Amino acid sequence: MKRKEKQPLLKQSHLPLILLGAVMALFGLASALVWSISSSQAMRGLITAGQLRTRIAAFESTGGLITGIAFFVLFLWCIVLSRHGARAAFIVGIFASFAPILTARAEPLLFDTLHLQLPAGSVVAGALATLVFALPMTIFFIILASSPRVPRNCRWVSLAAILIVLGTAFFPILVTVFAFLIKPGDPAVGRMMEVGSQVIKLRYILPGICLLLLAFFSQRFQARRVTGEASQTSTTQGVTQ
Amino acid sequence: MKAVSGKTSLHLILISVILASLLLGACAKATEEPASSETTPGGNSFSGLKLVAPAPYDPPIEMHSVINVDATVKFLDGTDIQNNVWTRAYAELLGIRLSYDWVVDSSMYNQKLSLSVNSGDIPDMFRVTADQFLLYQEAGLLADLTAAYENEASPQTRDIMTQDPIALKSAMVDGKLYGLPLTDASVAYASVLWVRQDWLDQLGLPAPVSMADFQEISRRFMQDDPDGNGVADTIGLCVSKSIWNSSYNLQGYFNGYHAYPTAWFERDGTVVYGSVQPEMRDALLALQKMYASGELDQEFGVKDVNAVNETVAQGKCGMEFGVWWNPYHPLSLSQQNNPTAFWSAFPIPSIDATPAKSQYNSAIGSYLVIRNGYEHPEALIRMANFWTDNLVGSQDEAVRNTLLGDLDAPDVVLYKYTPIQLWEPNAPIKAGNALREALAKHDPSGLDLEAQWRYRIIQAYFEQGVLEAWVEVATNGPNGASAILQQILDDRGLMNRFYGPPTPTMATKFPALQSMESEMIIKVIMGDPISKFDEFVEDWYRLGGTEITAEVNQWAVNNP
Amino acid sequence: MQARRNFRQNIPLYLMLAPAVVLVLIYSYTPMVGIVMAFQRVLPGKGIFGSPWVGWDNFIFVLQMPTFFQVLWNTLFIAGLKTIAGILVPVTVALMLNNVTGHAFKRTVQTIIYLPHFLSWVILAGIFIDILSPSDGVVNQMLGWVGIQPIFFLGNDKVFPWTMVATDVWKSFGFGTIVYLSALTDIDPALYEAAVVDGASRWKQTLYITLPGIAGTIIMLTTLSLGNILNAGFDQIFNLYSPLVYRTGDIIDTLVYRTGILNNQYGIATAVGLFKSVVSLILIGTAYKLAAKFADYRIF
Repeated sequence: MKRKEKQPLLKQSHLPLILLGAVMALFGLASALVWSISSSQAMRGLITAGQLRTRIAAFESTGGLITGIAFFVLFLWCIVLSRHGARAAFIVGIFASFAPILTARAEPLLFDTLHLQLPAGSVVAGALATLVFALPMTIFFIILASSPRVPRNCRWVSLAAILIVLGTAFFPILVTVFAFLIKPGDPAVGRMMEVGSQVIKLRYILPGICLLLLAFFSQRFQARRVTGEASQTSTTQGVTQ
Repeated sequence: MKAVSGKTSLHLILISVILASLLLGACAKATEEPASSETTPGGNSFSGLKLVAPAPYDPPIEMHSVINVDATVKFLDGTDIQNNVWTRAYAELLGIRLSYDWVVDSSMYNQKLSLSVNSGDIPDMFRVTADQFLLYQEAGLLADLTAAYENEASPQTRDIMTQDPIALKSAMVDGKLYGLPLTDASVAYASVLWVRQDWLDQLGLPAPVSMADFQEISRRFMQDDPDGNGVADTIGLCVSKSIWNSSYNLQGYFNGYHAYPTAWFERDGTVVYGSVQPEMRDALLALQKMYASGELDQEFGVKDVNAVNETVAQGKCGMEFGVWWNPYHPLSLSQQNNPTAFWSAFPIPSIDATPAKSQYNSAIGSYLVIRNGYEHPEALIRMANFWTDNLVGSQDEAVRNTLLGDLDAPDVVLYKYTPIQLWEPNAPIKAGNALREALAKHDPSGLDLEAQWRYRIIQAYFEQGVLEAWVEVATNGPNGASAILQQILDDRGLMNRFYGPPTPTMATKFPALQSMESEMIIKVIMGDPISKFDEFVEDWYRLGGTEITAEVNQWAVNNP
Repeated sequence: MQARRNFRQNIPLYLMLAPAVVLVLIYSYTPMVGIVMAFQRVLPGKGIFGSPWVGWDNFIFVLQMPTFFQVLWNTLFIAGLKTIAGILVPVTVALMLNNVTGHAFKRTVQTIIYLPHFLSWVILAGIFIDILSPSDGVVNQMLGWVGIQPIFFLGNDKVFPWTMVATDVWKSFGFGTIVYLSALTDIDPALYEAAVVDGASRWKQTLYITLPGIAGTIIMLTTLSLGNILNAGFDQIFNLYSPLVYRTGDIIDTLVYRTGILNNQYGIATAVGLFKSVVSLILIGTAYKLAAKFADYRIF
């Protein structure tokens, strides 16, 4: 079998990937900020629960829509600039751009449009929105991690990213399900909820940073190749560094 | 310092010294092992705990009691209801050998007790309902606890007994104390106004402060399709046919007009009955108008609480008057079909500039009593002190874990093993205040286990958007209903002035008058002329109301 | 002599009867001693032998309740109508079913009409509040199709007693029907054959063979149901009534319940119970005598 030659993730420019990671991390950061500022105001009683919900809903529906469109465009750009495994990965990843759009709209979709009746409805709706993001992103990283043409460092980052995406997405949901449906009142679950409410803030930030890392390593790989290092040795160098 | 005898103070000092040396020893990695038997001669299993207790009876006394224990109550290995941490504590620390003559399920307790007492088989110490209390006292079965209480009750116990100002009075007959009231927070039965907050936000309406706001909200809820389904199926105010209930009631509404139906209160030096006062008239007329314009369920007069629950579950209900814990039930039903449903509590709005007062009745559910003829009536007070001094006043983690239950086995609730549980009547308010403080500081560490859990739940609502947690937010969260209870307790409440047993005329005539009253109110709301109210007032006085009022005033003179 | 031989022959039968007699003595006759509580102010710890006697005070207390006679009338009215409808409807249905030839159809109908018998009034109340609603209830919608204005079955005090009778009959007529159907099977088929030979029509057969054939059962059930003339159905009315219909819907049991005298007021509760029992006894006795005199039918 012929050994596959390593290639950077994107041809020509890594700008779309950098932008994608930046937008993702920034959206996560903004979202975390809005949530923590509002919730801390609400917990002190400065704003009512209703005002909190209105504010969050406003942020998530407009911010989410803009972010979702940005995701879509940037993923599309990445698809155009990539080849082989990386391109397959970006094609799967583009589905994640529906997630920010869905965040604010999952509940009306499930309960007003589909007329579902569920216990713990908001938990289910939250899980759905999370799943729409986590599932494509996980597959995206799995493909990258398992493609032989992807530079070594990028594969390691992808491997780590799989765990990060799964952890940040499902730990809070799992805890909430435990807290409201399976073991209400259990102090151990209570401590997990504390952790969960922090972890949930990292849902977009960490994958965004992973994308930035991917871009960084891929660009460095490309730069070294262009500056005339032998293409055969580049793979081994990637490991030793 | 608590009222403890010299010998126990010595024990306490000894124990503290040992504890201190333990800590120091641990730091210094000392080798000597402090043996617990040295600290407490006689070797009890509670050494090492900072417990407040008087000198035990010597020789120990026997006490026969009875208790209700449900099948769900769990025991640690090797213990049962006759031998557990509480019986050991009473025996070792107080010198009281407590045994239970019978143990039944809670639902059977009153019946079994009646049977037991009627057949002459009376326990030494037992718990009775308010009805049984009066009955047994009259029959001379209960011991006089006046002296025992005066001499032995600890400040902590006295505090709990006086948090509800009439608790002790209700346990007295002719100036003598015959039982320890197990008080519930009376104020917890005062009404607040519950409003669908998500609808308020949807329509951009302000919080209700005046009755005019309330009526505007009711009208808009009915007209403006707040649930957005395009069908005019929403109801402004939900009321059930049981108009004086803990949910969907009307007394909250009447309170907004400074009318206090079914309650007795002082006016111009005499005690009067609220339902026949002129304030009722305007309130009824306004409600009649609301009904006519379709803001009330057109068939509320025949709908019981279950039927209204259905309306709430369908998401058609906009407001209701009910007690502070209504979100737990029934309002949580509204989330079945609508996960974004959220109810907020507001103090009763007022018709004028004077803030409205929520009416409530005294809520003394039961009493702990001692059999007349039992040699040690003060033992009950000592057992009560033991509870209050060690569990209510102190937040000592080790003591609480030992006597109430601890983290390792959260489903073993130890305090269920003793009938003497004196919870603070104002506990819901205090717990709510503590929780709100912790939320503002973002620090749950000072809270007890249950409150910590509530803290997490509220946190999940605010930080993760888990909407199911609104129940906890609406009751104990910032601006939650238990904060309103504090206001009601301070100066926005009116407690029923009459809390005695039924007067003679009341016993025969009152049920019929009550039927007339609710019949009149519902019929006037549903469109009968307001002259019905005037007729009712006349009939009420004619058919016994005059005598009853006189009797109640006589009672009030004797029970200031 | 004859009697003694009879007795000796039947000793095994008497022995078989003995447990039942003992049970009745223990559980039905001994507690009757408790009737004395109706004349006492029962004090706990003193029991029925130590409590002070108060004569007729408990009864006077009940009679002095301002609405007592209205409530008594309501009870008699509702229970009376229920008794009458409780005979007419099942008998009619049983006769109709008896003339149905399709076996499967008959069985199905029997089962369906018997089903409500098993539902509790708590559940049924919720259903009836819905289907009898004047605004969106099924019944009023159907009435609307034939041009009848909506009727507030549960909120109008003129209609309420009739609603109680109708819903009670709906719930219980399946049971009565089955009793009468079983009585019908006891009629000798030869009688019908003879009647057909004589040229009697279906109607004549029903009138002269079937009805006389089940007359005994009808009289027996009627007499027994008279014992319930003061039980107008607490479960049903308590779950369906409201302040709107107190005037006509309040019955003795619900009044006693609301008065709260069930709570430890043994004396008054016993007095009401005794009052009801005495009235029932008189009615059953009279009905028994009348049945014996006019229909020559003896239950016992």
